[in-house]
Order: sequence, then C-alpha cells, then structure tokens
Amino acid sequence: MATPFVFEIVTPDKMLFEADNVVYVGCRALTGNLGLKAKHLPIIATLDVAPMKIEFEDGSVQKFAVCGGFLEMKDNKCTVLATIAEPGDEIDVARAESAKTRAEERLTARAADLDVKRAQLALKKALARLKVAGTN
Amino acid sequence: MATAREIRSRMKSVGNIGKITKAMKMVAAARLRRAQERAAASRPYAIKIKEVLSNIVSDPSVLSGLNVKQHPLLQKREVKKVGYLVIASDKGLAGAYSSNALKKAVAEIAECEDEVVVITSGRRAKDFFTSRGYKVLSYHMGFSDRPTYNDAATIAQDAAKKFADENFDELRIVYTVFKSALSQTPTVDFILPVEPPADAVGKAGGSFIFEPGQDEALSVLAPKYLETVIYSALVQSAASELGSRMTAMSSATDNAGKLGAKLLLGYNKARQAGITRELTEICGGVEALKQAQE
Repeated sequence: MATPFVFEIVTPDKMLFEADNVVYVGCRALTGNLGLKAKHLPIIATLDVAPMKIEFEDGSVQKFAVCGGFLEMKDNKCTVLATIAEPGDEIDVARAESAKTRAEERLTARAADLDVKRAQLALKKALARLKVAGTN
Repeated sequence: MATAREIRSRMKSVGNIGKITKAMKMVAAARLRRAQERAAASRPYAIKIKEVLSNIVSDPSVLSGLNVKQHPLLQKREVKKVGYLVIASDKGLAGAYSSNALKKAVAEIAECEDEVVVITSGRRAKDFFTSRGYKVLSYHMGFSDRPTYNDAATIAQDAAKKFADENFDELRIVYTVFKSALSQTPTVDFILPVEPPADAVGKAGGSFIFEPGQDEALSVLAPKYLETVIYSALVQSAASELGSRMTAMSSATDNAGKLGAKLLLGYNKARQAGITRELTEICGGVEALKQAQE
C-alpha cells in the first residue's frame, strides 16, 4: 500500500486544494513528465502548462489544469505554487473551446504582427483545460 | 445671532453632507469586507513562495555558485542609494491613512544616511514627494483601493529593472498593515535584494533537486516573489485605506448628526426669540396707542 502524503495547491488568490491522503502526483515540468510518490527526495520543479493528476489513497483520481508555477516536495509534503489552477469541474468548457479555436486560427493565419509565443501559450492553456475537463 | 433663515439653510447643507458621508461609509464598509477577504486569501501564497525561496537561498552552496548577472534580484551590493516604495491612497477622505503612511516614510528617510530615491504608489504619495523635492524615480496610481495582481506585477517589474540598473542598491517598502477597521499600522519592510530569513541561515534546508535547473527556478521564483510581496502589501494597504475611510466617514456622519441637532436647537431658539420679539413689539404698540388716546 502506498504511503499517503500531504498535498496542496496554492494560487495567488486562494488556497485552492488541500489533502493529506494523496499517494501520487503526476505533472509536467519544463523538462518532461514528473511523477511523485511519498518520500520523494526534496525537489523544486518549474511546471509547464499542463494537466495535473492526483491519486488518492482510496484509488480515486482528481485532475487540475495548472498553468505554470512551481512544485516543491519536501519532508513528505508537496506544495504546488500555481500561477493559475482550476479543478476539472470548474472549467468553462465552452470558453476553453473557443479560446482553442481562436488560438489555432491565429496560428494558422500567421498575421505579421502575431505574437506567436502568446498564441501558443493560449492554445496550450486551452488544451490543458479541455483535457482535464473531458476526462473528469 | 444668526437669523432663522440662515440657520435653516445651514441645517439643510449639514444634513446633505451627513447623507453623503453615510453613503461613503457604507460603500467603504462593503468594499472593506471584500478587500479583507482578498488580503487573507493572498496570504498563503505569499507565505509559501517565501518558504520555497528561502529554502533555496538558505542553502549556502546555492548562493556561492550563483551567477549574479543572471539573477539581478539576488545581487548584494554595497549600499549607497536606498530606494523606498511608498504605498498611499489615490483619494482623500480616509482619515489619517495616507498621512500616517507618508509620515512613517519621511521618518524612515530622515534616519537613513544614504542617498534616497522614492517610488510611489497612489496619487497622494506622488504629490507629497514631488512637492517636497524628493527624487521620485517613478510613480504608479489609479488602483489604490482595488489593486489587482497585474498592478503589483507592473510595480515589481519597474522596481526590478531600476534595481538591476543600479538606481538603488536596496529597496524597502512602506505600507500599512491592516489589523482591524479601527487600527492600521504603517510598516517598513526590506524587500530587495532577496535575503534568506535570519533564522534560516546555516540551516541548510536539505539539498533540493532542481527540475530543470537551479538557475531556471530562481530566475522565475525571484521576480515572482517580488510581485507577491508587493501584491500582499498593496492589498493590505487597500484594506487599511477602506477601513480608515469607513471609520472616518462614520465619525463624520455622527458629527453631522450632532451638528444638525445643535443647529435645530439654535433654530428653534431663534424662531422662539423672533415670536417673543414680535409679541413684545405688538404689546408695546398697543400700550403706546392707549397712551396716545388718553
């Protein structure tokens, strides 16, 4: 049986999520996917815009859309400092869908003054949100 | 002695002022609740990011191998110029809120032996420092009672750039800590360069694995930390401003009520005096007529 550990997500406007019965956290850091279990060595990871998956002791799973931030794990306590984070059931699917189409249109049209990085980021955010919302 | 008509027009204007201050009080009270919630809600993030950052910088091996060029916010220089970021309000009618914060800043600056430059937030702070001939590097305003994270980010980027350009070698922030609607304390904090808290030095928090690397983590964390610190100072100050405005307006409303009562008393006296005078005049007239007839 996996050992549970403390897990929390903090955003600038609130304490989004807290639990002490998490056994696995899966997320994407800038260098690649990262999976954390209890007793992981102290780590500080810079997070990418991607879905985050949390598994609880009882086998249930919860997903969050995390748009950038940090993850710190130390002494069996995992803290996510997210710039933006949303749990799956709070995601506005229609809005994410339209953001996705808009970003895609901008990227295919390639206007001269296009801020490519910004458009890509918007697309990434929308995709992460849709992925989280779709599987919840 | 003012005439009854003069008193009546004063009563009317005092009553109107009372209505306005009451409305302002209620607006401030409603917004205060929200500002307070926001101040409370922003605290966990600020505490956490401070924790993470001090975990990193308290590890001596991190700082020694640091490339200063890459992380200007962590650079320690000999202090020749001190920067002050002073946060006050845009609008008045908030009791002594702005003046207390500015007084605190001036006292701090007077004690400081190095050259001082100022960055201001809020129209009051800008007017105060420019008119007194301080060197104001830049000013920000228009959001003092409802700051957003973006406002904090703008100030932070400005301050970070000026720090990196060596406009000052140390940055302190003057803001007002919100304790309750009745009590707010102007406070000064050091914010740049980023330093590990005194109790964390030497207690290496265990060597971290950095993913992707220490430099990447620090180059995002340090500016974010600055933004967060400024944001929490801004929301604290906003709550203080609204609290101070609420108390000031509430006492103004009370005073208007008292003044109104006093004026009403004066008005009744004047009215009564007028009636009495008229009566005596009539009686006198009647008396005079009688005597003339005899």
